[in-house]
Amino acid sequence: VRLVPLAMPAVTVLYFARAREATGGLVEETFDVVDTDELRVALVKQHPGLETVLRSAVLAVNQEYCVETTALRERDEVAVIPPISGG
Amino acid sequence: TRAMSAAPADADARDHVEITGSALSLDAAYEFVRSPRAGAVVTFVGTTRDEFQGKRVDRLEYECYAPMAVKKMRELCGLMRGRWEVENIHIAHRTGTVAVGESSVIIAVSSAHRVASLEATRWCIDELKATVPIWKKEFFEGGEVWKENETQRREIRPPEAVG
Repeated sequence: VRLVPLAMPAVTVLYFARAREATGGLVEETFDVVDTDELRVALVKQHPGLETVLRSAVLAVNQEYCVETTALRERDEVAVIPPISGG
Repeated sequence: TRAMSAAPADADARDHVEITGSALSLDAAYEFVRSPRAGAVVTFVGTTRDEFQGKRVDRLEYECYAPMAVKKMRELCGLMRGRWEVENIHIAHRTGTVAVGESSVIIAVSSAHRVASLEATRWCIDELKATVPIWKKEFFEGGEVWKENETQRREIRPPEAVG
């Protein structure tokens, strides 16, 4: 049995670079999800064009890279981070 | 737009990190890091090249997740101080259009003796390229492409311990 909170946390998702292009230019959006696995599914459902991007993108929660599935809480900020190219 | 250079309360005042939409200034970087205690100043400037794989490049356009980029850049400063005896550190990265010949990133480090700032500067640009959330799109003759740095890390790799 998996317990799901009655109120799913609303998290803010930020789209950058190729991810932003895949959403048609949308830079920010809110999702009600409990963890990053659920978020990935929800992202593709909402923006099918993100499926390819997500294969090589990493997520950051509150400005820390996720290295594994991460639980999400109300008002968390999640960023979709395609491969970087600073410098 | 200039963003996110305000330091948190516990930040080291000898570190200056900046994301800016304006042209970078090597003079400003040098002026920030030079010090009577420093016998050496090292600067690294990354600039837009005019060619990639035989194609003429017109410009690069940079995008940045500014709050996280600044956070990561401050972490880089802390790790540099932990490994090397450095005086002042300045890291500035530009966003928006960076035309051929213009600079996208400037790192400046000062130290009493040259080995520290030489090694720290090299480590800093390598780790910045591997971990700081910044992206560049290359506009070349015939198209455009998002670049991907050769090394991508989710964690900054600390410099090797001394001895």
